[in-house]
Amino acid sequence: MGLCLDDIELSVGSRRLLALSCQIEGGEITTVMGPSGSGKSSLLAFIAGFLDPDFRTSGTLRLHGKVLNRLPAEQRRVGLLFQDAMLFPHLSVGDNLRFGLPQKTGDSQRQRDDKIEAALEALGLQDFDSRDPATLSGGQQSRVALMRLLLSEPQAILLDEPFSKLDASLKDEIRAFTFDCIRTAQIPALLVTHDKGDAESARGPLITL
Amino acid sequence: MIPRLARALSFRNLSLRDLLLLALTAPLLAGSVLAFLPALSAESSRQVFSDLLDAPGIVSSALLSLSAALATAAASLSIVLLFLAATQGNRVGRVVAKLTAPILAVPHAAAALGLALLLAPSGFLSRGIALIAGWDTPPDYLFVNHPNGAALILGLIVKEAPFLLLVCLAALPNLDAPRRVALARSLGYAPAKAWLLTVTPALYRQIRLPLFAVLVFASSTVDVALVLGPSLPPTLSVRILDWFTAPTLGARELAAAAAMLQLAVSLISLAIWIGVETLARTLYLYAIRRGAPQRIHHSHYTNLTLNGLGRMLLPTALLVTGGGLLGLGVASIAGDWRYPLVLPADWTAGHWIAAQQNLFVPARNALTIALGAVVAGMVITLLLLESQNRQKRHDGRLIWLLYLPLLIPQVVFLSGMVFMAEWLGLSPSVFLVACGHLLFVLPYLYLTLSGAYANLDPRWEALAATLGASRSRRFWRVRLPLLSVPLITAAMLGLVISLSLYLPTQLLGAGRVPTLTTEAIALVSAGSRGAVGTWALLQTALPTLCFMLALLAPNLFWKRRKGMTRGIQ
Repeated sequence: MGLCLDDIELSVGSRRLLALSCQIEGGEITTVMGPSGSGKSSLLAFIAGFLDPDFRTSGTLRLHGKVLNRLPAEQRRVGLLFQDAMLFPHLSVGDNLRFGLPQKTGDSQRQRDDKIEAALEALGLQDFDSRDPATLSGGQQSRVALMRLLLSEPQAILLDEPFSKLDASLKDEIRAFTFDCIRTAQIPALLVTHDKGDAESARGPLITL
Repeated sequence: MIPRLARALSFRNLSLRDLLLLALTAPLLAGSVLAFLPALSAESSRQVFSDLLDAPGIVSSALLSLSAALATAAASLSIVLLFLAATQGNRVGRVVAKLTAPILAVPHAAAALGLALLLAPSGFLSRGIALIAGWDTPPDYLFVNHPNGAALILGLIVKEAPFLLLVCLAALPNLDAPRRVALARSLGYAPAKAWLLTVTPALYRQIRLPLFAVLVFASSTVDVALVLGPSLPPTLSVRILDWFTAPTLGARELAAAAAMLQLAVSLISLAIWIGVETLARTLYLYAIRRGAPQRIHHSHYTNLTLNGLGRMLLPTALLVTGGGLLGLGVASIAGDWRYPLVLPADWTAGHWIAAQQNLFVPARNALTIALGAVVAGMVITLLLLESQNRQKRHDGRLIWLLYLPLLIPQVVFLSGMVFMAEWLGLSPSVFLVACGHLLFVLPYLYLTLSGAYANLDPRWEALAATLGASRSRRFWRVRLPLLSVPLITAAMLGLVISLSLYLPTQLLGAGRVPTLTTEAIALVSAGSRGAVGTWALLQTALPTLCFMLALLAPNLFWKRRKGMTRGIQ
């Protein structure tokens, strides 16, 4: 169960970029570290489903037993967190959260709004539903981005150096908050980073490429 | 053998996008060929060509078109490069650049009409001199319509220089000009010269295509030539139009033969230009190899001259167009305005009242055609860009086809398209004219949007997909809104272009689809100064409105989303 990378190999042309196998259980955060060019971002793109067709891949990618290799990105239920919060600038804070909320049958608009309200409250951002995301502080933006990801109910989470652009003062706080949320939700997570501190507080297995 | 042949002929190598491009270009290519058909299929095509060569002044017409092309391109390019070298993005440069954009929205015809009003024997300039020199009759000189074509070339320069400036400004941010200049200055070159020597070669490569478009346009313009060009003989393009629309027997054959000559003239202008490029490259290398100047005062005067010319010429070009518009405004409300008076003795609203009664149909036509062409063009452009995006491919081999309407003289392929429409039984209509406009709007829409499309951070789409958004949801809910600002800009640019087009409207509409532009031009030979002024301003009004909308719309539309207008993409 969990996210399972089985004999994964990525190569461009005749050059083998990386080869790895690992198994990540729910609530576990596995860290991948390595120099630039070692294929970290390609690995994330491969798992999320955006790998450039120029790459050749082998091995099996499973999420809770389901093979992902050939599924389009939007059907994989693998969420992504970037260096930047990347809140859609054309949507309000609330609509950013609603964007990824799965459409369930029998789910009324009222229930969905309640969900958003509860999520904002959990972030300490009551009455922020119709706010312009550009008016939020950096820390608030990071939290909203994480909440948007969690509300989309992903079955695995990929973190692409998500704390590298944060101020030192904010970093620890946002990092702890993010990891706590992932552990509480019992979601398998793969973290790519340059920062040893990230790896330590992830408290999971460390893979060095 | 057969399987191999089949594979060679099969469309498997052509994507849907390629087919779309070919379909769009087919009428254009067919038109270019059909334009010559009446001459080639005439009973004696040799006779047609010898008739053409016997037509009085045909050589002057062709040479006039050729010299107008080369002079316009050379002068516009020099003006723009000198301006950029002298200002290098300083405050003056930025202010002038801001003023350039609205001048670009002024249609060629209106700018030409304004220029004619300034420089005619009884025009503003002459009245101004009369005030000082004490003249009481207009001087006996000919500038507008002079056989040497100086007025025509000037009229083209005041529009093409602003166009080239905007093209250059769009290309410059990627060239890292300040660092190149800093390096050259540290080696002893004065600023303007440093810019010209280090930035021009890189910049030139990026503006070559627009420059070729300027050459072809200047060699074959009809509306500017009708207003400012000589009349005995007129430019080749005007003669083609005259023959084409003449009811006399054999005139169409003559027009077809002249169209071939026109294509040759445009191609020759390109060939000469490419030759000059080689010469310029040699001179450039010579200048470089002479080494860096050792003593500052040695190059002091050159630098002063470069700076002075650079700062003067382009603003003058803008002033001329602006002054022309002002003149048109005065003329449109002038009552009694005898010669030496700089301003009219009394004023009247008569021209505007008269115009108002005939305004509705031309305005409606102009707007319908422009909106139709821009909406269709936008859909096609987005289809092309989105299919490239999905296949993660670059522009593709056939994208240059889109730019053909700018590189083949309008009068050539449009006359062929008229034959085609006649054969297909399509009568002149707003629809047919809009189809013609589409060909001219498309390249600009594509140019404006392809950069924005490619520059959009790919992570937005990745993010939306991981949040479960399907392809179409990603397109409609993420990509289009994020690109809304460039989309608005492109649409407005498309409207401005369509609203200013004269020849496609005149030819495909067979004179039966009046627009503001065709009405303004129609008044040139027959109308009073007041009526010309009124209609030229009416013609300018809609594009100017579009231009202002392009500036204001993003901020109004996204008033509550600061990230959208701050250039977050």
